[in-house]
Amino acid sequence: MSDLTGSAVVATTAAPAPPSPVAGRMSLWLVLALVVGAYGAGASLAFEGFGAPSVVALFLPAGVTLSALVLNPRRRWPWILGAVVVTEIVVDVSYGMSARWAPGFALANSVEPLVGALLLRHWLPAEVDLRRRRDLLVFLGCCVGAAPVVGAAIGATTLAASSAAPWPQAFVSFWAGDATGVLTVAGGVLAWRYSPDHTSGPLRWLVSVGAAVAATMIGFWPHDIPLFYLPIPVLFALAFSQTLVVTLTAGMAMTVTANLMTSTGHGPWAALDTSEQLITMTLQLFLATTILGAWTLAVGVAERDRARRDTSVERAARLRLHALQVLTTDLAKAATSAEIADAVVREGLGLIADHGSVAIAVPGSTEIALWTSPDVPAGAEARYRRMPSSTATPHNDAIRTGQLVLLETRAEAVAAYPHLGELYQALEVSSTLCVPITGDTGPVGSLAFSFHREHGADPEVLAFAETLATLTGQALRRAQSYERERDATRQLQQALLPALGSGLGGIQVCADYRPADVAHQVGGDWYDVFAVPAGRIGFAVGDVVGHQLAAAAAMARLQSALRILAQSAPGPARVLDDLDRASALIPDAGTATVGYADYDPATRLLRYACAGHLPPLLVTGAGAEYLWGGRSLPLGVAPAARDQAELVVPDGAVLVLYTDGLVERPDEHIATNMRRLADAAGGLRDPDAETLCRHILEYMVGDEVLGDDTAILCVQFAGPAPAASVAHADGRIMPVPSGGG
Amino acid sequence: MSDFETHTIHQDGTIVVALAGECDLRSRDEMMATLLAAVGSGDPVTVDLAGVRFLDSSGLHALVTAHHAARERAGSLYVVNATGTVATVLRITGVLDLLRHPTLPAQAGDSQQADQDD
Repeated sequence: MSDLTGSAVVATTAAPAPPSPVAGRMSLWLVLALVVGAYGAGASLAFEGFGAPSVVALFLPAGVTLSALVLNPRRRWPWILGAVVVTEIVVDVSYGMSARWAPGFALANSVEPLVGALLLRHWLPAEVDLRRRRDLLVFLGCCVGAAPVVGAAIGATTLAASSAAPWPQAFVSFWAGDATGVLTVAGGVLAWRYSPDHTSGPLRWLVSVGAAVAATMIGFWPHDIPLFYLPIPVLFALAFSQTLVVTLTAGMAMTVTANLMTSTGHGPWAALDTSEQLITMTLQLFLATTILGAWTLAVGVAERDRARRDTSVERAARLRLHALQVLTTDLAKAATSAEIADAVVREGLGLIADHGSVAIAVPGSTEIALWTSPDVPAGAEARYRRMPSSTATPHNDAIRTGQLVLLETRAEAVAAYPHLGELYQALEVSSTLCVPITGDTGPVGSLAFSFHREHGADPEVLAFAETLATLTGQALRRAQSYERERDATRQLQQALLPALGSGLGGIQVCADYRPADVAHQVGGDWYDVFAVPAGRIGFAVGDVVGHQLAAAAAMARLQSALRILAQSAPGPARVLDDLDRASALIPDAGTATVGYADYDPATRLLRYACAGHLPPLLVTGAGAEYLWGGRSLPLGVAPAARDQAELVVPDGAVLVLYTDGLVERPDEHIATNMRRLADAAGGLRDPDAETLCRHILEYMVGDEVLGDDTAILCVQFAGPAPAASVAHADGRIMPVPSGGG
Repeated sequence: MSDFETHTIHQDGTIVVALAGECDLRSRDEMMATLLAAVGSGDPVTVDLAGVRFLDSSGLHALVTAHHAARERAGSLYVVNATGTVATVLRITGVLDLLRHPTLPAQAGDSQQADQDD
């Protein structure tokens, strides 16, 4: 067929890949460039802005290195650490530090992130979601707490050796500076990298970060008025309303601003009359506490949102389950492919998709029948139509391959099916899923689900769609076997009904047969007209109770038995009597009702008998009357004497034989309908057989869909006919012996 | 579909099966099973048709089949309280005479004349 769909077809088992493989997609050179750039900038800021190393201050690069390690596979770690060592030494030396001591700081700043990353990966080998309580605690314990202890030990030793600073103070301020750097930078980067929602627009970032910077600048401006707490409410408000990434970015901005303000002589910390180490440490402690408070709040908010989402997901699942039960019930009632497709379109597709359609391969043809969901804008598509199965569409490809077709974006869908681009545009379809419906011998159809959003088919939707396809497949299998049987029954019935119109002299015949609607089971109604000895003509109408093919088969046997028995029996009562005995040998013929009459064109004598059958109606110029004579029990009920009645019919009279479907309705009295029938038939002036037949059907049935099969046979008696014209016109009519009439 | 109900009551050595709704092809199997189960106990069975609004040839067939099953066990099955169109159908087919309880008087209006006055 076409090759442009190959990439769109995916196996059923393919699940969306988890988002964990970190920054592995970024090239190593890009990673190294980013690390060198960010580390160099952070380290320069520490020297220029915060006065390192005389006072070891906020050291943001500690967070840069840790982030790079955590986000990259281990084989890249030596490169990253090498780049950090080189950068550190270059920056140190360029700011006038002795080349003798720079390697010491480089060692501190490479061992520290290594320890932090190893510990973090040990406890959290997979994803790091800093909105989870446990992940946050591991991050704080390993990266913010433990790792900087190692770095501070090496750094303080170097510091003590190079500048004769007291070791304990050097250790404490080194630790505080690195811990705050890791907390702010690594916290923000990890939250950004692993956060599933990247929905915050740039404006929101700008406003949030700007608010934090502004509050910090105001809080850290005056010496004498304590306003340093102003950033706290700002950060807490962000934690409540924004994503964790935004909050942590604002926290980082606050930290940098506060340190810059303090080192340029602003704010309450700058005014403190105490050691620089104590100032640095208490400032970092204040900032870290504020960030941690906001962070804890953000975690709590995230947990609350998650719980709320779980509840709504659960409710949606419950609603779907209920809808599925309703649909299952309706599918059980649906008897045909069309009814099934209607039920699925009406009640199934909308549960998960914005639009949808059902395609069912038409048996024995190269077409598919397509039903579209009602929400498709009027005029865009006909709700039902047929399409060739050779066109490249998601439906046809799902049916052809037996695999689901998944188109995750509009671009993907249009690339796979260019001619459907306009339709996708009109319906605002951004992603589509097509699931095959499997029948006995392979795919028999497919369900299409279309979404206004991209990536609409999440795993839940996929599972539901496949359940729906399975249910539809089961219903279709049942319906199609039913339809096959119904078609066979109909064909049998049609084949058994006699050809009318010519060959029998002295009468005119018109008959009609209205099958019940498809949702009802077919009974076994029949009518028959044939020649019998002595120039007579026999008419029969019968109704076999039962199901489908069994009833049709019993009807066929009863019909032949009656024709044969009528050839030798002296009259209608004996015909039915013999048929009663014969019916005992015919399976499924019990309680059948039969009306039989014979007519002699020479004498106009009509003889009739009814075995439980509704009385024939005789229509003459004087009106219509039921013939209540010759009544007996249905076949196979009880042995009993059978009566027949006779009368001489006037020229032009019409005898109407019919089955119960014509007059029996669930909500109407049969006597009322029989009166209606007589009124309708008697109201016509000198009707011929055909006019009467049409009139009766029009009046009694009209466009109504019948719950039972209906047969009607109208026989008009028209003048004595010469014996020679009583001949067999086709193979079905029995030959008439010469000399009769 | 669900417009058919049966209630079987055992009382004083007889069984009363009360049918309600529409006895047609859709309910035939359930009706047949209920009647045959009642007949299978061997006790005389009375089928109360008071609640039946519609009875077609399928329903008729079920009654006759159950009647035959009762006869084979030397038991009995009779119908009572057929009214309206149900009574007419039973009468036209001749089955009412077969299934009517022999000791009960014919019900009012139980004549064919009502239907043949045209």
